[in-house]
Amino acid sequence: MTLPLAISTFAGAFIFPFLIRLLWGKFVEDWGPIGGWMAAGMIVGTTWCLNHGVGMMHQTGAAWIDMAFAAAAGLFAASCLGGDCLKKGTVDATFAIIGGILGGFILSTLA
Amino acid sequence: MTKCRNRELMDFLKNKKFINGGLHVLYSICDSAKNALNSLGGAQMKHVGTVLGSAIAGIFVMSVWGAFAGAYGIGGGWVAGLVIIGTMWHLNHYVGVHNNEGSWVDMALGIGVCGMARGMFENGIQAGVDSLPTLGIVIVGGIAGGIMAVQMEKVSAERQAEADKAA
Repeated sequence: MTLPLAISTFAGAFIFPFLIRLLWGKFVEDWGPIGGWMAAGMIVGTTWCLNHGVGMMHQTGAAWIDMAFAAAAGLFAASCLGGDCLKKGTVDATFAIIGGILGGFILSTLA
Repeated sequence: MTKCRNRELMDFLKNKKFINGGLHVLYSICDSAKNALNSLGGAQMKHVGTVLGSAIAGIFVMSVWGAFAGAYGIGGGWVAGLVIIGTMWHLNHYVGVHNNEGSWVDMALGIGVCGMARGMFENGIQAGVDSLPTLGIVIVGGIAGGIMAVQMEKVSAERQAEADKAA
């Protein structure tokens, strides 16, 4: 991980939760559940193209670090700043991590 | 033990003691499972929902998405985002299988962990250790993005408040 690559990785990681936080709610507010589909395509699809397609997010190891980590960290931080409860969030986060590990294990059975 | 409507079938099966014994075991396992799930109740079941929703989202993202991109290039990756995240968002956050009572835990957390965990299950702990520089920068960058988004929201709110005052 050289400094230039770190800068592009940081930028890609910055952009994803920035877009989600500011746009997703508006999409759903304006278009209802269809807004969720729009957001998935426009925000996540396009940002995937940036981070993983074009490659802004530089991988250093064999274990895949998805831009999803950026979204998770950024949205959690934004939510805490906005005044939501950290303690209950940590409980939910723990179960989400367990779910992730379960999913990762199931996928590893394919290898 | 549930009542069997088909008396003839049950009489036939009862004649074979081994099958009868097996059926008893099967019924009692099903009953215990049913009682266990019922006794979990709402308090814990919502957390089971989080685990399931995260796992399912992670499984789709970390397998199908790559297959789309491999088959159809970067455009396939975009379509995969639409289809997979659209569906998973509906499951986890619109319908609400993923519990969220405090600070917002996005399904993205489970998805990210799934990708990293799969790499570690397949290639060992060292694979995860090697990926820590990326993870560190991604998390710091993400937090910066989230914080700036909140600042932008504040700017918007102030602008709105001034517009309301002027009106």
